[in-house]
Amino acid sequence: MRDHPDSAVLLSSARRTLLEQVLPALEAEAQSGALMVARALSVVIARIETDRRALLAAERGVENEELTALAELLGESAAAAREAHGGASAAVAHLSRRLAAEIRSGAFDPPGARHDLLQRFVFEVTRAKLAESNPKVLQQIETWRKEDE
Amino acid sequence: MALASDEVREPLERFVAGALGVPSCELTKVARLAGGTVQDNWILEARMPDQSRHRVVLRTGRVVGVKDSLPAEQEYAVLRAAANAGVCVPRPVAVCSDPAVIGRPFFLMDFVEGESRPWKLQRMPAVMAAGDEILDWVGVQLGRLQAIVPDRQALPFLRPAPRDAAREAIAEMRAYLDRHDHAHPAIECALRWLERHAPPPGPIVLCHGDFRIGNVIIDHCRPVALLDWELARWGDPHEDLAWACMRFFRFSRPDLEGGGLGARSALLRGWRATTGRAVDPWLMRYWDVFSNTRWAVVSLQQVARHVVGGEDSLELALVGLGTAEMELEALALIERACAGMPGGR
Repeated sequence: MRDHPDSAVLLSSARRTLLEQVLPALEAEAQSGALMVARALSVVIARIETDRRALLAAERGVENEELTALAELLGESAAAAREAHGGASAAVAHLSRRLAAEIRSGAFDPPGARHDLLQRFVFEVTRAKLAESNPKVLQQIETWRKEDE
Repeated sequence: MALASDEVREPLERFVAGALGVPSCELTKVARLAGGTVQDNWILEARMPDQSRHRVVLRTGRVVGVKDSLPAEQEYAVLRAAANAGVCVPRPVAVCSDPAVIGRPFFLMDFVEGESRPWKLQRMPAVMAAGDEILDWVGVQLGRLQAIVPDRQALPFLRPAPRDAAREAIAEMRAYLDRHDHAHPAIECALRWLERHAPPPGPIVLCHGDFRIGNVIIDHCRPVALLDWELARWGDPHEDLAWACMRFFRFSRPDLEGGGLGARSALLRGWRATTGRAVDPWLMRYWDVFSNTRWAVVSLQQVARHVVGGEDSLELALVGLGTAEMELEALALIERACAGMPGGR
């Protein structure tokens, strides 16, 4: 077991120091570099949190959410896919490829439950990625989407 | 590249003098300009024999080029064609294909004073107050550019003009995704929608290829020049219009569809006044989805330069993090288009 602080806390602290102490002392051109570093750190912090939640879920025996959704879309069993591909991430990669091919071939074109399920899936997966990489823009787009509902 | 080094200085001074039509000059300043993940820009200040000073920008491709970006000699030809069509651009000065001068081909254009970074412009109240006028001007420039249409003489080095701009680009994006290391179901959904709703082939014009406020120089609230022509290509007239309006380029003012500076309608007004064409709202919506999808794919290509291309640039790595933003925007725009809702604010 590692000693404190854990990775996310350590990085958050590094990011705060960068923004509060280092950035103001930098010249204009170097500031944009420092802001990019801060941005990269915040994404890594968010990813550590996501990975930690996934790990906890896996420890409790909860199936990977993305894998479950993909398997449902493709009419397969998540557990069987995990078994066949030697782990959840390999299974997600494999099923994503199949899903992409089916979307391209028009298999999800007809309006109906399957089409709607796909829409929910791609929105969900994309929102989850954006929640890590740019939560501010995620909120912007979500607000805009709801505006005319 | 050490442009300021002694070995480079002498041949460069000779070249600049020749380009400016003087027997000799002394470069009193050689400094890299900020910005540009694809091209390197340097400002050169030349002291002329009569002691006057002339500032030019030297532009050259980076060592690792981007697919579809034009080499310096070709970008120079596009810059000249745009200038001849009446588009406000920095005056093209000279092109150098001889690698003996600085080690790579480059071209020179006049330095244009002003600001082009949108996040800086957005902090200038006077610029924001003039936002719609600026956009109108930008629309006029685009209209002038689009007077350049494919023919045998015009820019022969460009990839042949597409017959069907949308469908051909969709096929290219899919071909790229097939070579990518993992699948992108959200982009596939957008591409499928674009394929099923593709408009019939329309006129083909010269596109800037990266048409956005970040490539417009604004000096004291007045737009003065359009920059960065290395991604020029033949395409649909709506491509550049939609690109300029993408959320990604609106920065702190996502509510202002016209590049974060003003109303999209102001951009369209200038464009319409020059081309005499009105924009079909459905087509605009189609190309909005198209732009976001294309940018999502381009961002994958950019980050591939970082991951497998060996170009260790944090800027490129962060572009890759933007993919999800364009994906979600494209999905949301499709959702809205399908619901027949008005296209944004």
